[in-house]
Amino acid sequence: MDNFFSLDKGIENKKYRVVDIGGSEKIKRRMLDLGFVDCDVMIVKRSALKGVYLIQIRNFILALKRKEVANVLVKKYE
Amino acid sequence: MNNKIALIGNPNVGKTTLYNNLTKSFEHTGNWHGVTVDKKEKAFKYENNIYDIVDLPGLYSLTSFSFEEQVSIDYLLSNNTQIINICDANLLARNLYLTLQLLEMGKHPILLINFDREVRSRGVVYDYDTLSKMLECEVIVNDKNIKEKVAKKVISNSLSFNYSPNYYTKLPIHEISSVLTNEQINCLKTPKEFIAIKLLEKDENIKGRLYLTPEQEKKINRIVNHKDYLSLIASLRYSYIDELINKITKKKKDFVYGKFKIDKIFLNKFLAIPIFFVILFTIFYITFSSVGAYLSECLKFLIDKLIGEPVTQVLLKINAPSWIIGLFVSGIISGVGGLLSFIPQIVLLFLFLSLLEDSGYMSRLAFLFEDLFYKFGLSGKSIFTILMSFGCTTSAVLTSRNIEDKNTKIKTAMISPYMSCSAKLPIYAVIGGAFFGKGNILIIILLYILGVIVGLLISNILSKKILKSKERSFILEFPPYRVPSFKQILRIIAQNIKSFVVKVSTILLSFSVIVWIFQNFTFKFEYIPTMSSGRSMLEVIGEELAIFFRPIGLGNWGIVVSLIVGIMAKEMVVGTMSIINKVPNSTNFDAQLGLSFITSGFVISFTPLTAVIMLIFSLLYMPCISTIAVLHKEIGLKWTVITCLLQFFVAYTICFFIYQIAIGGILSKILLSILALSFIIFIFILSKKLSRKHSFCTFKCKDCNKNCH
Repeated sequence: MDNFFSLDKGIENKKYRVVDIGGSEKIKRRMLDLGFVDCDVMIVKRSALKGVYLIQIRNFILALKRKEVANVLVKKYE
Repeated sequence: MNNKIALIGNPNVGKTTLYNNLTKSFEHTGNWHGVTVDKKEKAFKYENNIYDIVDLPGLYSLTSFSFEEQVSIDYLLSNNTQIINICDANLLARNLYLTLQLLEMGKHPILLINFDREVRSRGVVYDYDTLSKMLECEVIVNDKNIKEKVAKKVISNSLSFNYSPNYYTKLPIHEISSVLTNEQINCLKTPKEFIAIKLLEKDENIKGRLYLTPEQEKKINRIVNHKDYLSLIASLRYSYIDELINKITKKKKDFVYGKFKIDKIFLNKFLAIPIFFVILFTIFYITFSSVGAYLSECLKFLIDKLIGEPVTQVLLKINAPSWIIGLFVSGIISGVGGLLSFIPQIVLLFLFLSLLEDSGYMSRLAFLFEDLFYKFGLSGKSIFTILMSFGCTTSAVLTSRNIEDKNTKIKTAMISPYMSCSAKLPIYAVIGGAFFGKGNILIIILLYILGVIVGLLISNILSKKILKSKERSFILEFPPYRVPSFKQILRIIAQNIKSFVVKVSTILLSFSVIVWIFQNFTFKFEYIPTMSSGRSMLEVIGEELAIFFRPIGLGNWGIVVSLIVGIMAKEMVVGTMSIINKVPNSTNFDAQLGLSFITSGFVISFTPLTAVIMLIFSLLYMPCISTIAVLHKEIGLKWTVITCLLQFFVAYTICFFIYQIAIGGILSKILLSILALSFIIFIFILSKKLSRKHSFCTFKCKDCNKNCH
């Protein structure tokens, strides 16, 4: 279980595997539409005040708020 | 033969660019998410057939997330038309997610692949014939023959299609559809499997359209809540898409769309904001001071030589009646002619805004400003609306639609009229130019900054109580940097020149004539210049209203009338002033005209203080009539009325304080006393708090959390 954590706690430029999406139904649906399922994700950058994250998902970049990133449960690659 | 074709696809895949190419239109495009917010329709002709193209806002799936997505979904649910599903080859997997849903809906889209050349240049090659076979859809690649391809495929393509996905075997589709009646299924005109999937996905829109009985709802909820079907369905769709992509990929190379090394500088913690301000300053400097000012001068000269002087000479030669000469020289030429000289500056402003939009930098700005704007109750996406407001507030208000949260959207739309739009430029050039000379560029920049600051503060106040944003999300796709299309920018500029000239020659011309008539005739309709005495209609009305503006230093009836006419169109403020002052040879709306306002003897005259107040009041006081109409459409009557009243109140209050303090009147003494008293109270409270925090507490209070001991 130690390998599972929310993506906002991840390290920049390190790949993680998406395990589950939490949060409200609306946000969850949008995240799933965008492909947050059975794939790798990576934090590309955090904003200066750390409120917004740039996330690499599949082969594109998304800007998300920290609380949305916190809804992404990921696991480390061994 | 008439064929209706809807353009559907993810945001920023080039739907409007295709629409413009097919229909030779000039609709707004940009390299950012959510440029198109409403549907647009236009026809094109090919080989005796007429094709009606409908451009719809972009969407990621058939369950809406924002207002503009709902427009597209409603259209798909209520229209049975041909569909062209535009897919970006760079993001094929994500684009096919929508394609699968269109097929599930019973639609038979034609897939149009955009940016295939770009994806090939990245070393990725797809086999579109295989894709066509696997999805049983026609697939075409966008190139210069696109019109012919679209026309031919649309004629042969069947409207509906019985798609039976093999990846949904694990889902209780039949259980759900057995709960529904035939009437309910038929009313949506979509396959029952699609309805069942949408119900499993808890789609409120579809649910609402079915008018379920409480019993049906209970049964459906029991099935739906059994498992996390939302994740399962997405997983099944993406697994199938991944399998599809593997089969159609001829040449594979990993790349990340929208990731650029230059972002290390543009998004750098310390450099990003200074870079943005340098860009903004450069834009303003080129537009208002160097190139823009020079081109404006050249155009002024041409207008004078080609319109002003010849018209006056002709009228004098034919011995036209004095009121006709007055109408043309002081009314039309003076009121409207001068405005045309602002075309170069407007062109430059729109050119730079287009460059910002098309380059992909706008989305980076949204990322940079999200944290800051969040504190003011706005979204990072509000930067699109704010920047577009520097061009034209009317069209900028529409861009607020891509903000998902309703209250944030309302706040963004409400603050956009505080921004300094291009129509306010003549006021700055004439009044600011007269008093501040070459330093006027600095004054213009300060006015732009003031507009933004006031807007942010208003949003902050609204966010505290009235327009709280409960759960606000920020999901924004990063587009790649692209070299802006020269053709597209030319189109945008041409469209803006056209709409400005049309506005000048219709609305502004008619208002100039009306203002001139009101200024030169009495209520008994006697022509004033031929009379020994008499007060014009405008003067009588203006003087009645001027009482209200005296406390802010704008008690001159001419200024009051100009400001009221300015609500119709802000460009008219200076035009009206010029008509009222009967300034000779005033096709030049520049500092020279402004200097005439300083000279006593004219109806309108300014002191440096009233000039500053006039500039601030013009910036903030009220949206123009076309912006009010768009606000009404976007945020409803209640919020539009609040916006107008609030804006007037804010402008009046700020100007009141500045004027009263500057003249040192009795009100200023009261104000200063209140300020001084507030400051003393503030210091007293602060010192109390600090002393309480640091002093040693002598009470040994039970349950006290403070670590005093």
